[in-house]
Amino acid sequence: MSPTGRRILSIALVALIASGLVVPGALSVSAASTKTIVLTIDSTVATMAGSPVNLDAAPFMVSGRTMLPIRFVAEAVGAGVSYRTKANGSVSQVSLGLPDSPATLKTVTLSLDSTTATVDGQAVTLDTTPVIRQGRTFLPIRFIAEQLGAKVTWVADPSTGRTRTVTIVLPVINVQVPTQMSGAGATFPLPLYTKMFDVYNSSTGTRVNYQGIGSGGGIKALTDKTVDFGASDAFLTVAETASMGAPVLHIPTCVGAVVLTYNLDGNPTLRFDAKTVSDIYMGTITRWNDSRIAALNPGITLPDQAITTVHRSDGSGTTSIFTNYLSMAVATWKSKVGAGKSLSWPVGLGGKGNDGVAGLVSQNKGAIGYVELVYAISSKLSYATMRNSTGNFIVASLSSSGRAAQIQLPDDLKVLLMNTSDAQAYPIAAFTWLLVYREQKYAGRTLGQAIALKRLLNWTLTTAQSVNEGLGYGKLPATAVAKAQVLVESMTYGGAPIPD
Amino acid sequence: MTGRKIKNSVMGVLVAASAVLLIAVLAVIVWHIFISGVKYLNWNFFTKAPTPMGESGGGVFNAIVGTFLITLVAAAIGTPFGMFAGIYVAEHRGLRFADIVRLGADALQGVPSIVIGIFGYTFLVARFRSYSALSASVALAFMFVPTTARVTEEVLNLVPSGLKEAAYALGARRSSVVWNVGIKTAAAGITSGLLTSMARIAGETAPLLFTAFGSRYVEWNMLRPMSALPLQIYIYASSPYPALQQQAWSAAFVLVLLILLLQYGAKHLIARVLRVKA
Repeated sequence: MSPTGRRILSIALVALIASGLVVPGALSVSAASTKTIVLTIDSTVATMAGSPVNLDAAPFMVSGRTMLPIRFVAEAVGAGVSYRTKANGSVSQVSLGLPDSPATLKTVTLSLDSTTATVDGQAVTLDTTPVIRQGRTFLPIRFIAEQLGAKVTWVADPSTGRTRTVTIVLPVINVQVPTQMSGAGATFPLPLYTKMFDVYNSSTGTRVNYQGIGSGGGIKALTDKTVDFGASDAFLTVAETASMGAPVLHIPTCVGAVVLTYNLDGNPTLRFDAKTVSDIYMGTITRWNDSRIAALNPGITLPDQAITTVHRSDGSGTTSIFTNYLSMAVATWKSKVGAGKSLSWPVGLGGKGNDGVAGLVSQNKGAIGYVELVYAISSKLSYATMRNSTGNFIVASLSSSGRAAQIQLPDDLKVLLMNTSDAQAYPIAAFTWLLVYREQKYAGRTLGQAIALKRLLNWTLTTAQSVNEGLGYGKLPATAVAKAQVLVESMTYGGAPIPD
Repeated sequence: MTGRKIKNSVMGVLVAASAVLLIAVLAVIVWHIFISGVKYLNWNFFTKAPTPMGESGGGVFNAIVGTFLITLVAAAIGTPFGMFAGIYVAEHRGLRFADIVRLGADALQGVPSIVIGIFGYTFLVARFRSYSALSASVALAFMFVPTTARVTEEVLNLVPSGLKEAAYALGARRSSVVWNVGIKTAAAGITSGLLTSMARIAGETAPLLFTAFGSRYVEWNMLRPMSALPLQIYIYASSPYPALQQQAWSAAFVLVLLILLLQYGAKHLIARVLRVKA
């Protein structure tokens, strides 16, 4: 071996040894710290880590055991909570996800009025049962504290000899919640999401990177587990659900609308109904001065001009919304053309994206096309007023599309909002959803990632809703928000409810 | 006039017209991008990350950083492989395996960039369950290696064999001849080849769609999703907001300028290497 070769080899060996020495040091774990909580029986004021906090209900004693309201327990120990309710709506079972290490949750399930609880699936006998008082669920603190390895001390009132204050010393477990997340999917809510996540970044310091690669792409990315969440304008089909391999939750973020835009001299505001639009797109109405269009638009002089229909050439959530509407409202459309992200159109030109459709409409006199409301507004296009299922002519707007969701919604929120029964609803409207796996422990995801995602979803359903209308998207109605929050609360990590 | 003269002048006109057309096409593209893009250029455009869609202001600093990082890392990964493959082929002219390597490089050059992107997605993004700038760099390196290998080989072949033979006659080892005579003589040519290859990958969009993913934030970590100028142009051009469409033109202008500068640098160096040879 040449001298140079030997020198390189020795340098490499030294580097190897040095790296071996350095790595174990880097893995050292910081010392555990504790948090002290002091409670006073029958008082709603407690101290946590030295500062006073208010409880939603006062702790009380029953047969020598201290009972604490569940919301406070969850907050104090950073636990996730989920409830199982009876048919009458009262709580029958409570599950807690207690962080017992920075990476894992311990599942503790308690049943109301039962002394049998389970800890990670193992049955444990309690000496006191959880109870409901004044509509709140109370848990025996001693049992919870034991599960967390906390120390509990009681101080008795000298005059009565009864316990007056309870001091709990909890080990603090710091779960590393990442400040970066990524999502991909629908382009339709892209402007909304960029704005929402910009607000989220400035208020929480967490960066959410959302890319509008199309609903199909978002579903694929979630299936491949390359993103934290997907986004879609159409809910998962049976085949897509099967390929996911695990239950996927659909969390709606807004109500969007699709409008018909056209290129006619004088830009009149036209009125349409589903049958007329269907006839135009099927090629049975071919001229603007057709009596069927004229009947809906008294007082407007329609030109004797051929109609050119424009549709999306790419697979699109917008097409899905538009054709689902026509299928729901017109039987012949359903049987002859159908609904979907891309289909074979009887007549007309194809344009790629909203911009492609708008471009073709603006270049062809007498053309008609469908685009998202946001697109029509930002590009200052004129669009038609639509007759809804109750016979009212409705202008597409934020409030009228939001009204479309004022219906009885299913618990999983996988529902079409076209042609709904609300008298003031714009008929071509739809939810757009964020898609997440219900069980978050997959493909090496950490507890912190699950917590970050749950926080984001809860935020989009509450604070972020104020962003919607400023950008041209309908707000979610309160019923949809409530149901979506139940879905978010049902998310688990290793089977345990995820802490907030 | 004789038939031969007519043929000559017709061909002459055709050739000249084609040359003019080539220049004219380039001029029209550059002029149009310049006119459409330059009016929205300002300091914020170069130094700020994007604002939320539909809001005014903001820039493409995230994409500029991304294009530089992704391209430079791709070049760093691809340069040794490309150069060594090129040296191998040049040093083993006539060997069957060298011909196969050359053929492989040509075939790889012909693979559509969208296929390279899907390859990057399948083997890097889906496997490591994360979009990242690094996976984009690796995908682009696959496009960088064959061009670099071919350029290295061609430039090494230009080195007069007399020079190498002289070195051998003086008792130089093969490694010394390859390094001191081959590479050093051809250094400028190889460098210009590297720059041309970099210019080529800097403008690629398709491989990035599946790998770099894009980001609205200024990102320096190669293991995270990152934006790049071609990606940003693609997204902005199809957005509903006129302000973003205008920024797409400006970004196109910046990208074309960058690529032309790299190409000019390459041409300049090629001119120098030819002068040295002469």
